[in-house]
Amino acid sequence: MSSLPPAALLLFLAPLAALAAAFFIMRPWKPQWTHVPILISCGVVTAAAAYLAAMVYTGRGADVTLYTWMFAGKWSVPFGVRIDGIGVSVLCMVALVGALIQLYSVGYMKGDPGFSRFIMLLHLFYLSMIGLLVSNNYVQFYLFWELVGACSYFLIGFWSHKEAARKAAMQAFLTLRLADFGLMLAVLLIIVQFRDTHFALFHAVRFFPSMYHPLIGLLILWAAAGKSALFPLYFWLPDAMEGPTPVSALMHAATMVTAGIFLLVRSWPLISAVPGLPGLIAVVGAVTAIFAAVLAFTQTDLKRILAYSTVSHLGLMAFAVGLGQITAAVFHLVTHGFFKATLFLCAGNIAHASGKSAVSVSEVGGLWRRMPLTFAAFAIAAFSLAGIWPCAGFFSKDAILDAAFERGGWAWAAGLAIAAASAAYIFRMLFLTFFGPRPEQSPARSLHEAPPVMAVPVAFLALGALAVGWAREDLVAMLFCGRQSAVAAPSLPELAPKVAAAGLGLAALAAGVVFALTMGAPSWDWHWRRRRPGLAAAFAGDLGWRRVVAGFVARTLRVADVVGRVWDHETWDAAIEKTATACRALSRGGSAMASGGLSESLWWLMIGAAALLAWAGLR
Amino acid sequence: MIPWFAVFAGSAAVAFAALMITRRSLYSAAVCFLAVIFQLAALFYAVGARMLAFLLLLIYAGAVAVLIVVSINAAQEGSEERRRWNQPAFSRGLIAAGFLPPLLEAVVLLARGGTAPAQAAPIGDLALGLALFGPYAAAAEAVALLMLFAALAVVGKPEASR
Amino acid sequence: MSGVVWSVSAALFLLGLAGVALRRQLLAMFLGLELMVLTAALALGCTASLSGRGEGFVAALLVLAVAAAEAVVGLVLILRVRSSGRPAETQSLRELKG
Repeated sequence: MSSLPPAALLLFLAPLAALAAAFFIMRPWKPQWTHVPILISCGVVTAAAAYLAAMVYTGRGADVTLYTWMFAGKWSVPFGVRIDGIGVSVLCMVALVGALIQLYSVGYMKGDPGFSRFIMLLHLFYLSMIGLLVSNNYVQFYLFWELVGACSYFLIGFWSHKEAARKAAMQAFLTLRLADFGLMLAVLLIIVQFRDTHFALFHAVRFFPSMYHPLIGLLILWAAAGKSALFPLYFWLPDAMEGPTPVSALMHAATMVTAGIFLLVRSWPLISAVPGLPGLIAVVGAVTAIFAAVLAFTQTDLKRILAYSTVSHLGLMAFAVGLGQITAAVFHLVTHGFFKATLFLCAGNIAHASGKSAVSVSEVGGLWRRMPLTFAAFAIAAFSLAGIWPCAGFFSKDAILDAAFERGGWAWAAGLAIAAASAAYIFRMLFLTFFGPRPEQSPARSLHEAPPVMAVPVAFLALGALAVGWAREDLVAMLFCGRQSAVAAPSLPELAPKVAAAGLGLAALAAGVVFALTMGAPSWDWHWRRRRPGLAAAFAGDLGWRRVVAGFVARTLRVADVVGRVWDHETWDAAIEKTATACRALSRGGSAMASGGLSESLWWLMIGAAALLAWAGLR
Repeated sequence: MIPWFAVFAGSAAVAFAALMITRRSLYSAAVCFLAVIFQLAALFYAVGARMLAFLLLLIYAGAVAVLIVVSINAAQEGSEERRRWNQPAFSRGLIAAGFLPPLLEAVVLLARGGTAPAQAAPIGDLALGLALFGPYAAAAEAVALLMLFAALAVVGKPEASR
Repeated sequence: MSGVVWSVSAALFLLGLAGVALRRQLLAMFLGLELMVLTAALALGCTASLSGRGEGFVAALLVLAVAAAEAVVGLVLILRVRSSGRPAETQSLRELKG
């Protein structure tokens, strides 16, 4: 057990100090300056993350238990730090992207009455995610996991004067509770079975499946599906767009939804030991990816398109995990963080410029002339998302496609479909937003480029979206440094020209078709929507899945009503009321007995004496 | 051997007691009560407790019966029905029946020279007196005091009439 | 002999009890009460006499004396009820109602 590097402590201390300073000094004194300590903390955390990455890269990981929170017999809840390749690679991305997004939000939220609250919540969110990434055991992981969920609730519902925001926050929170319950059960089962929750246990020992083992794996998948918006539970994420755009960017790119994938990667030694579970994860991921990509293609709201795109990409990562390529999954997680943050911040620029929180594609068009920097950043990120060489997304996506190709069959088909569909929806968005404008669109005259405080983070993120992929070999090397796992994660395959060509070709083909569909003379994008309103409604309702969920919720509520109100009323309340009634009847009877009449008293006296005599006689 | 004298006295006592609780007229009940007391005294006599028999007659037939009759007179009710209950409806037959058994018993006793047939051995009155004023003196005094207080109850201030 | 005494005592006691429990007039109840006390004295005295011991006599004598005192008090109470304007019956005594 190596000693704890001071930089790891900084990961916690800097945000905590910043939050304390912001809350106790800045907020009462100068609320509009709340961001100063927080941005400093962001810088410190990013630097610490970079230092830790360098440390891990040189082969010095750490797994230190700082102190034991509570213990009972052999079992204990430790609080510790684990610095290894998987954690640190994601940590670097989260620290950098999160810091840039917070810098951006300073410009975006300027003048909002809740500015200081917003920036502090954002930072708490950031802190929770970092804590989650460096946890060294499941209980601590669960703690930060819940903290992330709580912060997302506060931030989605940040504009609490909007009913939609409140509803979305509640929906997200309840859905996540449902998923978190799975994680809690999983952690409890792990405690029951292994008496130890350290990740190190699972990474160090190769163990064999046992009774609870498949159940634990399924519960972890369930939890990850909730947090990472995989198929059965994905619906909260698109609705979470009601929050301010930086929140969406942070949630989608860095701090929230990646936690589920990270959980799958962390638990990979456990999951891979369950036969059939990786295949299930792959199927869930593929279904999510294709389903969400199709829905993204039909959305009109800019942020909703991006939200479904995130769902699709999370599905892709789960697909990679399921195929056994956790390296590719982590790699894609990192590149996705950069390009998705760029896309969201670009959408935020547009929303900020038009002064609205939600912008539809029909309200914009031909923006490249007015917002050239936003356009450039968006284009790079879109290329990255579509997997076009030489952007970052190309490398990570190609790795996943390679894995799918090796698996062959349905996996290869699903991989190609995902590649084509993701290129199609992101190019549709790019064309509709920045090209044109078409006669159907009516962009406002006043749209303008973002101020520097917002433009600079976007530029940096776009740079990341372009260039992160070039460090492919180094990143993969880093993943295998530090604490080693007994279950060898497969290394990233070499770039296969055939696969790359197939992916690139499909993406280019999709881009061309989409250009024809959106920019062609009769715009198909509006055409089908007008001609077939029923179909448009079906796509808006997620092809009926939302209705299924609503039905499930309604039925659950009805059951809860029966259990909580009717049943309670009929049993417990009734028992209590009946007790009172019985007491009253008893007292009435008793007082009737004390009638004061001589004869009645005498009769009681006789009965009593007879009873006493009988008792004495029987003895 | 069946103690005929005691059986006769006991049967008569039970019969008069039954009459006593079933007669509506309080005067008739009082007469029956008196008859029961006579029979009880005869029973006491038959088991050899002569002293008790004499005391019973003295206290009950002499004093308490008179008190009861006085009370019945004093507690005359106002309503017609109740007045009928409280009529001094002395049935002659009843009075005759009440005094017939004591007469018979007196005759039997006189004929046998003062001893009942199959009589148990009498307890000496001297022994009773010695016991009463020897070891039981405190109890006897307490009862005497109780009787004094009971007498005081009669002279208490009457409750205000409603 | 003792069988006769015991059966007579039991019968008289039950009859007295029935009188107390069933009659409504206070005086009739009082007669029943007196009968019960006398029955107790009878059982005591006769048993003492038949067993040849003087102490039972003493007890019976004391019972008789107490019964006489009780008779005085009871009759006075009945007269008091009557003189307060109420009929001398059990229904008129209701102050103990709970």
